[in-house]
Amino acid sequence: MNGRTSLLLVDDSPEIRLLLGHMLRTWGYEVLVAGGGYEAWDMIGREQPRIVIADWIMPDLDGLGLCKKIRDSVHPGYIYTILLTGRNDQESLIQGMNAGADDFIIKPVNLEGYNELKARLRAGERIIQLWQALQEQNRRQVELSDRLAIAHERLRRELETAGRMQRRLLPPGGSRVHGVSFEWLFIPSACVSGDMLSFFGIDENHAGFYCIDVAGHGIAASMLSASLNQLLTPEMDGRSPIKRRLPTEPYYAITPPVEVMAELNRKFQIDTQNFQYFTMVYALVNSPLRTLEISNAGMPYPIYLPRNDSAYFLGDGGFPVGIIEQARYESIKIQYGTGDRLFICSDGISECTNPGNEMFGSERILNFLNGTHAMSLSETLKELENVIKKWNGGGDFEDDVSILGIQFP
Amino acid sequence: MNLLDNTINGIHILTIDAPQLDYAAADDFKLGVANRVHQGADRLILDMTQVNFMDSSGLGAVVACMKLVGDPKRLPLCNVAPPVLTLLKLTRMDQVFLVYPTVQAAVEALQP
Repeated sequence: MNGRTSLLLVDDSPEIRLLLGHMLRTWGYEVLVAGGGYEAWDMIGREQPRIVIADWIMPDLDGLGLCKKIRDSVHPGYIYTILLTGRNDQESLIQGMNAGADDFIIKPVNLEGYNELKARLRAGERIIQLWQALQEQNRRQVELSDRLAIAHERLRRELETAGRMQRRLLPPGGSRVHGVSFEWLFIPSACVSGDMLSFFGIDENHAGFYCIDVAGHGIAASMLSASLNQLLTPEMDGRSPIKRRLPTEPYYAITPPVEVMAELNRKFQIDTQNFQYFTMVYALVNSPLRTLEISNAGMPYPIYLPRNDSAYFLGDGGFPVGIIEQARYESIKIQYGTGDRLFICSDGISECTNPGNEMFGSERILNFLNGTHAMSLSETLKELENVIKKWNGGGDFEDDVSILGIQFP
Repeated sequence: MNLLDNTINGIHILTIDAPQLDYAAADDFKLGVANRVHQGADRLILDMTQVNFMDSSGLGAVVACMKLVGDPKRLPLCNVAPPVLTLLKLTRMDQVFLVYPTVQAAVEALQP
């Protein structure tokens, strides 16, 4: 690009081509000339001039026909067309505009005529510039939205991968630990979840299990829940609070639930930078003694379903982990009977709203569980999943949903 | 999330003008309270008349505000709806926050 606007002058008169062409060059245009409509049409295809000035009356293809051909075809840039005419009546003006001409001028014969043409050409250039600016803007918009779509797609795929990895952290459902059966339900609101749950044998007599719900959801919450999953193991790695090495027999100690909570609470205190806290249930099962010792740090009340009796809420709640430095935790100990069940649900279930914005609520979970004595544990969770999904009205959940179901031997 | 300001006897009353203090509203709420605190409000009464639901993110935001003013006594809550009170009880936070039935009761309690 040399900065000069290319212009095609089409006239069957060699004098006009010479005279007007010279004038246009002195005005700074890069001028091409053609002696007729078809010749002009060929040049337009080859040279793509920005402006075409065409005589109305020409022997082969006239100015009107040329304008029509230009408008009926696609060009990389806008071609501004001016028709030269000897006539100055309204009817020919309308005819010319309809053919696609942008402007009209009576063939200049004197200085005023040339000045008028010059002014009209400048106006035309402004329109061309406007068109080019718009084109450029559109091109950038399209490019930007393409890049956004690619970035979004990449992020979505990464999240999906993270979600699959997170799911792999969960122990297999339908497992038994020291005769205790565990089943779970896990539905993240996004691809990843702030909920986490696990169960494990601690020694030959004890099993432990926990449910965690990091406040909020999405990536930040899922990172904390995944790191908690890594921390809370029965391995005596010196970091996990669940089981500690001792120098003397039996060479280990199982940490009571309240102390596990207290230690996590010290370790995960929020500060001004990091405001992520979590609620949690941690419980120990002593299988020879058939006891369950359970501590709740702000999760919805666990629901206990005796084999031959009505369900009830267990315990009094407790401080969430990480928000109150001096928090003291409590636990309760119960004697379980064969076939008794325990359900720990994240608040994504009780706070799940139906299309009418009504929450499912803890009472509804309790009532549902009361009708499940005849079902197996896994059937119960599947049915609860159906009920919740139906309540939610289809589509994604607003918050992470997780349930741990336990049946005692 | 809209916060309405009012002053009684030099005590700043902040009304949460939203039915839900949840994940979506938590950050706005925190920022709004932080602005008031930075502008010099050292005692704030949180009027929760309009709030009929609070989730764990909302609770986290209220706790963040409490940490910001430095003492739960400087951030009493009033007109707390039953579902919100249920969450406070479940999380034992009813033992941390001062909860008053009305704005007037909270104002009286804050008088020297």
